[in-house]
This record gives sequence, C-alpha cells and structure tokens, in this order.
Amino acid sequence: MTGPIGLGNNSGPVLQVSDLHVYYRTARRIIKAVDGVSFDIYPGERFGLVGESGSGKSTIAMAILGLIKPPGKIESGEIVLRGRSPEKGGSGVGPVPSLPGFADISAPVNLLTLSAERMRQLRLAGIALIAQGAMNSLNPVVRIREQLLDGMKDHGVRLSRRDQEERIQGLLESVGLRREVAGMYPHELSGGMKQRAVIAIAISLRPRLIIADEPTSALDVIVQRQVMDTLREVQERLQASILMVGHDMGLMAQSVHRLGVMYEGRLVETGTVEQIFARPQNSYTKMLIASLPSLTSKRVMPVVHGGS
Amino acid sequence: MIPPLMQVRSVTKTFGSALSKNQKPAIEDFSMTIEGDPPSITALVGESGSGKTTLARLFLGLIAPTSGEVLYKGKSLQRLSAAERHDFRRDVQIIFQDPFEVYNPYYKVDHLLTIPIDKFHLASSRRERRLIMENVLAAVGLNPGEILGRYPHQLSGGQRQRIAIARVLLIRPRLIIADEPVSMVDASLRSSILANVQQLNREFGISILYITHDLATAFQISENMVVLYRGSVAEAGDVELVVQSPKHPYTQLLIDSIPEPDPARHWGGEPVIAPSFGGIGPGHGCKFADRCPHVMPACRTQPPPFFRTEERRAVTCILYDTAPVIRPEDLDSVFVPRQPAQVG
Repeated sequence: MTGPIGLGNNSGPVLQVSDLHVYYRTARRIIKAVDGVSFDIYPGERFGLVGESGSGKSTIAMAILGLIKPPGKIESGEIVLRGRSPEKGGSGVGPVPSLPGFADISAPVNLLTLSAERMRQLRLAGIALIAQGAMNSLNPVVRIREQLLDGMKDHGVRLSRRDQEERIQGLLESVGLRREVAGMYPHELSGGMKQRAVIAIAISLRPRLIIADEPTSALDVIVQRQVMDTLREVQERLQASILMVGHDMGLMAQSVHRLGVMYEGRLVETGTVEQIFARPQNSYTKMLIASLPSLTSKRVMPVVHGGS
Repeated sequence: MIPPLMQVRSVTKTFGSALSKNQKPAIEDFSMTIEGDPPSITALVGESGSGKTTLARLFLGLIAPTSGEVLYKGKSLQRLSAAERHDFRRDVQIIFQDPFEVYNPYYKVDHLLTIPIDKFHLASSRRERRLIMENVLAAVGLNPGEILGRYPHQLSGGQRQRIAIARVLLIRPRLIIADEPVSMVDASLRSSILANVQQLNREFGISILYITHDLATAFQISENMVVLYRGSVAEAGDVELVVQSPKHPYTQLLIDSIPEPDPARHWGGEPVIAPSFGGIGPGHGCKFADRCPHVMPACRTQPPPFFRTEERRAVTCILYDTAPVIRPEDLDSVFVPRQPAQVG
C-alpha cells in the first residue's frame, strides 16, 4: 500500500528511462513528441504518466516496448530494464514455465541496443502491454483459451495438456473470471470481462513491468473500478511494476503510487500522488487538478475566450 | 394553457422483432416534460445500456416509441404537419459526442454554419450571413478570424466542439439535447465547453437535456437529474440531493465508483457485485436486484414503484416503501422549478 520504498528494491529500479528523446520528422518540421524525459520505476511500484492528447505519454510507452515506427525515431536516451530476480514461490497463477531468453536474468540491459528479435522475445515475457481499447484487440473468431496460449507458445513455452489447462484456469481465476470463459468467444463477454481476459494474457508470462495505456477508457465507472481492482491484485501478487498511462487525474489518484505529469513532450512534475495532489508545484499540474469537476461543490464556470 | 415544449408520455421502446423471446425494452414506461419556459437544465445519467441514447433519439423523433407518445407542443411527433415539423427541427437541436465526426473533411468549417443559416433563412445577404457567423463564434469564446476559412483538420477537438455549439446557437432552438458533449475532449477543456453549454441556458434561454455517464459534470451544470438503469429510472430529483446523498443502491454504487482526485479518500463503499449472466426477464422485479447488496425476496416479485422520499426526489427502491408512491407519469412533480432567468 505504500510507495516504492519497502518493496525490496535493493536491486534498484526495474525500469530507468534517461533523457529520452523521440522525434517525428516530417517533410516540413520536426515534432518533438518526447523531449528529454527521465524517470525510474521500482519493483512493485505503480507509476502513472498523466497528460493530455499529444503530450507524449503514449509515445514513451511505445518507446519502452520498441514499437516506435517511422517517421518516429528515438533520437537519444536510454531505457534500461532489469530482468527478473530469482523466483520467490507462491505466485498463485499456476505453474510457472521456465522461459527462454533473458526474462530470467537480473542484469540490467539497455533496450535501445537490442535487436528486433530480442525485443520481440522480451515483449510479453519481460514487459507486457495492456493497450487502450485492448478489449477490442481480442480476435473475434478465436476462443479465449487459444488467445491465452498464443503468447506462451510464441515465446517457446511447452506445456503438457494437463499443465496447460491448469495454467489457463489459474490465469482466469486470478483475474476473477470463471474457468468456462476459456471456451468462449470475445462477443460472449461483456466489456469488463474482455478487459480482464486481456489482463490475463498480459500476465501469462509473469512480466516484470506491465504497461497499461488508458486501460479502462471505454468502460463505465463501476466496471472501471472492478478492472482496476483486478489489475492491482494481479500486479501485487506477481510483484510486477506498472506504468499506467492516462489523462484522468481522479483515476490516477486512486491507482498509482507515484505520478509524472507530461506537457508538450516534457515531464513537468514528478512526485508521489500525495505530494502532487496536496502541493502541486507546476502551474500546468495545478490547472489539471483544478479543472476536475467536483462532486461536492458547484463552481461558477467561466466562458474562456480565445485559444483552443 | 400553453402545452409544454416537449413531453414524453409513458414511453417504452423495444428493439428487434416482437416475436423474439427474452426481449428487454431499451427504455420502459418513461415520462418526462420539458416546459421550455422557464428554460431548464436536466441531466440524464446512466451507463452504457441504460437507455439514455435511445431516449435522445426518441426526443429527436429519429425513432418511434413502441408504446406511449412523444409530443411537441402537445402534438405527437408522428402527426406533425410539414410546417410543424420544420418548427420542430428548428426548436430541438443536438450536440453530438464526437466533434471529429460531424464535419465533412472536404468542406471548410464555415459550411457547418452556413447550412442552417440558409435552411432557416436567417440571413438576407452574404454580408449578413458572415456577420451572424462571426457573432456566434465570438459568443462561444472563439476568434472568428482564426476559425472561418479553415478546414476541420486544422482545428483542435475543443475548437470543433465549440463551433458545434456556435452552430446550435445561431439556430436559436428552445431545447438542446447534448449527448456526451465533453467525453471526447481533454480534461482541461471540459469545463470551458460545459461553461458554453450553461451559457446557452442562462444567456439565451435554451433548455438543455444533458445526457452523460459522468455524474460530476452533470452535477456541475444541471438542476435536476434522472438516473437510469437498464431502461428504468432508479432515482430522480434535485441534483444536490441525488449526488450528495444518493438513496438508490445503484446511485450509491455509481457515486462510490467515481475515482476521487484525492489520494487520501479511497475508492470504497459497498463491494461491487458483478451482474449475473442473463439477468432477469422483463416484468419481474427490480432490475438491480441481481447486483444489489440490500436485495430482499420482495425485490424479485414485482418492479418497485416510485417512492417520493422527499419533496424533490423519487426513488424506485422498496427500502423506502414507507414514503408515498407516485405514478411514473408524475415524476416531473419532484423536479426543482427553475428560478427566473438572470439577465446577464
């Protein structure tokens, strides 16, 4: 329940982003989507990146995953991931398959120096993504069971039929879904159930870091709360870290330990949520907090002239 | 007596074939009156599947009710003459959710404004047309010089949504259905867009039906609130009462689930019960029974009536069965009458 401290972080941060620059070069101009951003995420920590559309927050997520495509380019900087430390037992998600690749090693590696193939192995196994509107990314003609197994097979996990079923059941149970869901197609599930299935896929290889990009943006508030509770439970059980990207300050206040505020490609403020909400330093952060509609007092809203 | 501007009377709308089994109405036995004078702001709040968009389409006459009536100035929308229909189309306007989809990318944004001016003969010359456009853009806080002559892709989402508001403003309707007008706009711009909506009501005397899933913004701009759950009203009345001391277990769950921008206040309240598969068939008990922490056997036998718990609130929950019962068509009686408009 507390911050990064006290979660056994003697091994240092899981992720270190240092002076990252990502530019989009078009014929006419250069757009500095990410312009010198640095932050660390510690083991077991939930770190939030908040900002408006175009602030560069999703670009950072894509850069960590090695998914920046032309005309976007990582100009400079470092993204260092520390692999998995030796297993502690009792994960509660069924038998843990041994993984090929370096998801098992604990030496830090700069992701920007990796080959495309190494990066591909690392995704899902080391860093998993829950994308915006991910529930719509499930394959409509494939049962949930096969979609859960797909990533594991692709990463070279070979399980006996019995272990497979046990693992699927463990994954579904860990996200609060009944085992029958394995045999269902996405259209048979509600939005919240689909998003849980996506979380089950994301944790199937026990990643060190889960990147959640607006994980509940299309969901109603009640379902949003259920899904966020689920995400937090599995993250705490796995002792994974979360990078949560979003624009909703209220959701961030309830979900993360520390928060970074993005504005025009720069990180303008970083701190624990308690610090940021109690004593915001940056004027943009203050404005973001002040613009939230309150449920307790009605404010007179001025009609703003000019600008956007 | 002047008939109210719009009246929805005991409306039920069921989609799909009448032969199919297990049909659930998208909206069930709903009644509401919008007097038009004095101008009101009413929020219609619900999650996806609550029937709020179905209601918006019924109000606009885009779909016909399965039973019940939608009346414009006392006359059913199905029976309007051509001239009355023309008046109705002018008097009742909509602001859509997505400011990116209402524009044709091949036309300059002026197009969106000139169409209603020409259609409703609002200007007699090109100069007057230009003047009207400049006036309404300035009224919603935009600089006409920065807007006119541009293409939609050159403008931000906030600018586009404000142009959409300027468009309805120049038509001078008497009722605006605002269907999630800020859900696609960045947080920092939301309050200024909502201020524009509120301005339409206060300065121009236009009634607003604000349709949203966002209780906080609904609380900020409206006087009265109707909370919908699966096509039925859970709770309705004075927005201060409904939001600050919700009585229906569903409204309580909804408000508890809003993430508060305060790390010290934890997301809490009753544990969330997931809806069971299939739910319950139509006509059997309270629709919230399968998720309700207070469920009792009586909840599953018949749908709860409206209990008028206070002068300005009604709740469809038998926890309040000591309060007097009101008929669904009398729901309007709990709404706060609007104060005479301030001249600003």
